Amino acid sequence: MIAAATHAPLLQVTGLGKSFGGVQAVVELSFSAEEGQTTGLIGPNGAGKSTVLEVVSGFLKPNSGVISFAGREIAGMQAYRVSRLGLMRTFQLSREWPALTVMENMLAAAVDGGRDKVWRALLKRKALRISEHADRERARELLSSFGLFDLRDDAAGSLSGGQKRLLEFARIAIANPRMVLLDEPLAGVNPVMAERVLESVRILPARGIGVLIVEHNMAVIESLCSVVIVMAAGRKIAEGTMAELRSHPDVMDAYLGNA
Amino acid sequence: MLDYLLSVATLVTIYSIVSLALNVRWGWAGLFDFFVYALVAIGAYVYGVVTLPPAPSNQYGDQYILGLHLPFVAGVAIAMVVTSVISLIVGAVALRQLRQLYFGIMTFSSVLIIAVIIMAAPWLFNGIIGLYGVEAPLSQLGLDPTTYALLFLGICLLALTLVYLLLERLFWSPFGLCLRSIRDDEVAAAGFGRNPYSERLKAYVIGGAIAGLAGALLITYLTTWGPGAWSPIETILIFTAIILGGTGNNRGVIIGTVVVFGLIGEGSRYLPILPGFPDAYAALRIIAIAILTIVVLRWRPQGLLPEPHMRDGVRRARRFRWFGKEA
Repeated sequence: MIAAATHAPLLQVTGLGKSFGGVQAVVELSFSAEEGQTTGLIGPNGAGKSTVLEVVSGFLKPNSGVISFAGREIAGMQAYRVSRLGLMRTFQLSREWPALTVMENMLAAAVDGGRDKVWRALLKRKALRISEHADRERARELLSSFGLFDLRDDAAGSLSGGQKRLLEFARIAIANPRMVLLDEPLAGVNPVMAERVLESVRILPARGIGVLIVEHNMAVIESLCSVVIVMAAGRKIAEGTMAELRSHPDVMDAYLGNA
Repeated sequence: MLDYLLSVATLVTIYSIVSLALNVRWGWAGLFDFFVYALVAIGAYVYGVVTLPPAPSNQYGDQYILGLHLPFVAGVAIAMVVTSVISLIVGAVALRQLRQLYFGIMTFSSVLIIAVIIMAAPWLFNGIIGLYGVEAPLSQLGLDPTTYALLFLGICLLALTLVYLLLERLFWSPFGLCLRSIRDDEVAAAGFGRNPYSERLKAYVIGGAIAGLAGALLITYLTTWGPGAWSPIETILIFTAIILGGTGNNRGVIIGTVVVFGLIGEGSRYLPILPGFPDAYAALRIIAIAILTIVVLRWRPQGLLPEPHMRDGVRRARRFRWFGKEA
């Protein structure tokens, strides 16, 4: 119990509420996600899973509730500030920067402590060249491990759907966040590529990066996640390992209906 | 003939600076901005009232603010500061929510508002008559007109070179890359810690300062500036120059300006006059530029010189194609 008191989870959500007009998308939701672990977020369509990711990552403002990340209150904070704290996300549809090359996508994603200031561009050229060189080295390594090395000078917009997904993970890897929120990483990816994408998801916790993943494929969730949170109609209805949840009556109801 | 060529070269040089200013906004930051030409005009007006002596009391009732009679460099600096500040104000409002066409409409309307204010408030910049009698810098050297024209062209080329070098530095810097990422997908850029609003605003202000510089040079060259000298149409010609030369590419943009304002704009004066249609070529010029824009957009949307990229590998032999996408 003493250990639990000193160790606060990396991401702690308490009493989160979000409504769109009269629709309550998320109601009184509380959960936590740990550093270096993969937490699953599942539920039927319309359960509010994606809304949770949008709100936690700062792209939507919550109506109520507390979100603390690494000990800081981030509810209602702008997305770019949340990202700078080390909480990043991927999108359901890949959002590469299409006109930039794959390598430029990597360099632009490398989070740089204020390196993109205008005055640095004019006065600190040498320092910038050194840091760009280091970023390139890191990007080359990552692109090799994601199988995108040969495509590094191609426009990111010309990649296939699966390759774009891999680029998204490579960008996350170079940005090196503390936690990443994955919104259906396998959506629109062919089965062969899916294995590769899954591999890149597995690497994240091994690097100490916490993962919160929304995914419809239960086999994938089971193979990745130590803890799974189940949502239905905006509320959390259960939490536990996949094995525990399979026999949970509320979960069965949510997925199959209680007819 | 030499005087004429010098005059065309000077104007094309100054317009190239305007194109570079708009390229920062449109090419790098993706802002569909029409306000840039109002900033050129404001830069010109501000330069005028800062360098002219106090308004004389004559039978024409000329009036304008300030009349500080400051030298050339001070006039340019003040013009750039004023256009930067106005860019900051307009950008801070327009960039909050508006994107693409809506942003275009807002900036276009702002040009019209500025034009109406200047006409309706003659105490500001002498209203519909405008400013005239602006002194040429270094006129005390007593050079003959042709030598002086050459000197002034040199000043303009120096300004263009400085702007070009500054923008090349910015383009290849993390700031330039950050801007282009925001242009491509601002949501993803925010996801990687970039503040799209403030980065765009920076691009907007940088473009504004450069437009102010161009305005100051323009009034210095023309020695006069009034409501007849500028209109939103000029902005469309600048857009054409950028699209033709290569959106996002500083060198391409200058080439585009040379083609649109130099070759097409001036070259058409040498066609034989059609009997009975004295102003046929003025109209045909606009039509030719419009057709050229459509042709470029359809078959070579990246322009003559496409936006450059930070290539990483050994430059692969690429099949170069003038039309369509590069292989």
